[in-house]
Amino acid sequence: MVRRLKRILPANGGKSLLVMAEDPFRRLGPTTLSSDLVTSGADGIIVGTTRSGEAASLLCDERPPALLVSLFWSQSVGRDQSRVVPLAHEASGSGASAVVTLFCVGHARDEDEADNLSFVARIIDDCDEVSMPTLVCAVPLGERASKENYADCVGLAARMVSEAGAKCAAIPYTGSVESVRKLIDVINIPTFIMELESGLSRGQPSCGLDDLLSSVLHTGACGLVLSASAEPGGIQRIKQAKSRLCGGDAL
Amino acid sequence: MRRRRTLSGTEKKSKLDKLIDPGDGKAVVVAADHGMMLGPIPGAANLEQTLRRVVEGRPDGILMSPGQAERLSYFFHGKSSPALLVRGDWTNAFRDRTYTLPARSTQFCRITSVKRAVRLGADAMTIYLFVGYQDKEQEERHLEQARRFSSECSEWGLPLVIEPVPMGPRVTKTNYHELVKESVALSIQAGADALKVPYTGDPETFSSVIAAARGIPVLVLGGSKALSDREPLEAVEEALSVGASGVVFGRNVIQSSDPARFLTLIREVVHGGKTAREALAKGREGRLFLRTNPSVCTGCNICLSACAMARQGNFDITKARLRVVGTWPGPSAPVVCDQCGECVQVCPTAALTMDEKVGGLVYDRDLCTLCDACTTACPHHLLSMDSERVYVCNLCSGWPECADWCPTGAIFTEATG
Repeated sequence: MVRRLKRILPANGGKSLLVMAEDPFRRLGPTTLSSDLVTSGADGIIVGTTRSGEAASLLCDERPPALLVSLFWSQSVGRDQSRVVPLAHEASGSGASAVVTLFCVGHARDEDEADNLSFVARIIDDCDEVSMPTLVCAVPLGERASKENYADCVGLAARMVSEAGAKCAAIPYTGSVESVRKLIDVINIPTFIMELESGLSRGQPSCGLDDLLSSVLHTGACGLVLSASAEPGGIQRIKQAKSRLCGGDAL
Repeated sequence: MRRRRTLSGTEKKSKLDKLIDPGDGKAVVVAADHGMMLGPIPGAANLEQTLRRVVEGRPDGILMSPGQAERLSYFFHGKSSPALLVRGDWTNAFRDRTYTLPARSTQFCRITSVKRAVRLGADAMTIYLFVGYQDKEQEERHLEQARRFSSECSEWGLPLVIEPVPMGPRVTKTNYHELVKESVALSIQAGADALKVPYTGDPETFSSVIAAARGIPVLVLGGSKALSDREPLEAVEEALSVGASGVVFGRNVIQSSDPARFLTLIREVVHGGKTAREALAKGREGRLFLRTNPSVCTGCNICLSACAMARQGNFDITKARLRVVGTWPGPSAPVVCDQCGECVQVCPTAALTMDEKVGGLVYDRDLCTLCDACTTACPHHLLSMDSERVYVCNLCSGWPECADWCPTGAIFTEATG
């Protein structure tokens, strides 16, 4: 567990950069796992379970980037968690350093929150058994998330996954560096700031790369989770973020 | 990794003995799993810091979520460490309107397995069992979940503490006690090894809950943060008097300004067999003085009500033996009798004397001429008079109600000699 965590968490107070090649919110579909992406400077690349085999062959040695395997809950999953069970073993078998999943609060139906939490808890439990760290993205999503309660929703979701036993959390930008700092202080586990596609929920504050970098560099956040973009310049953006995180240059 | 079922009874017993003192059959447990249900609330936000103060009060057990149990496992190392209870499930039922995303319908789910709790070093697992859902099917699902936990706990030799709580639209003030009894009976059927039960409000109804538990240890719930230390202590005293095996306190401990002190008081009642009053009297030996800390006074006036009720049996706060300067929620300060003796000195008939042993003023109505000299002389304007008598502070004969009920510690006692 510790060895795996060390591959994705920064050493000596540094900041980590993880790239999400399969973003559950992006409508463009998965990004191609090119050699450019692998050599972009990211400390870890997050891919979906269906592509973990393909990714394993590209990310097979001890050098960065580490491989992180993701599985996300959706309403269609509901209480059927049969897919969850093999995930931890699959991830372990493909040499992954962590499993990534998603926990959302703000659903219109309270049942969805319970189902989502149950799904996440099951992943954490299974991963724990094979010493596989879990990174849970805690995101307000749905009709009950608003501008007024956005930061509180992030705090609630992140704290819930922390209490359930996630080893790391990833939270979206909440509007200011100060509000991010306050949240990180109460989540109690290493926390990444994650990039979200704009307009996912009503209260979601808009932010650019500079805001994300500031909230990583000026708070206790352990790194940034960036969405890999299929658009031209995507790799350049990752390199730019890495360079700023290493240099501590937010603006 | 599979364990033989024949071992589970012995294993359960030895683990339960770590939680419930086999000497007196009692336990003081602190619930610190609020972050899982409510998010980072005060007291739970920085749980490590809070628990450092909690363990100084020597609780017999601490209830935590699996994540916190793993991170803060060092609190449970060593022979004299508290027992670890791991929360096995989650509910949104306690997210009322004062919290983020209040529950619209009661939901629950598993958050860990018994196997993982055992790996975390748990001495017991705790789960909810709600009775009162509108949907009977949901109630049945909850019971089924409890049964599954129970079966796993038997397999792993881990005691199961079920928290039966009346919850949902079928719960009313009138059927609450009956639903507590019903949920206790269901918990026993489901296989509980101990129960964590809400107090029904009086010893008579709670004794029938204890009877429904059929010998299974019942730990009484502390509930939401009380206004004073005395209120929960008295509830515990009542529950113990009818057979409860101890308490589980959450917010009353983790949100206390001094968790260790509060736990020490609870231990005095639970393990020491003292009454709430006796426990609170600790440190009050000798002559008493009332002291104030205006910086924490909120101007709630509970002290005035407590004084009036204790001395006159009503809430006429104009006859209270203390004053509160300022009004809620602005800056306020309590003004109490500091036993300066000015009133005693000016009394021409010696109707007022000072109790040098306990502290406070002693008033003799037979000697009093209602001359008004004392009320005029009091530098704090605390003495009042009507056509019948003068109202003075006698420190409630050594049990000052104002200090006992002050929720913030703005009024407290100091003993000398």
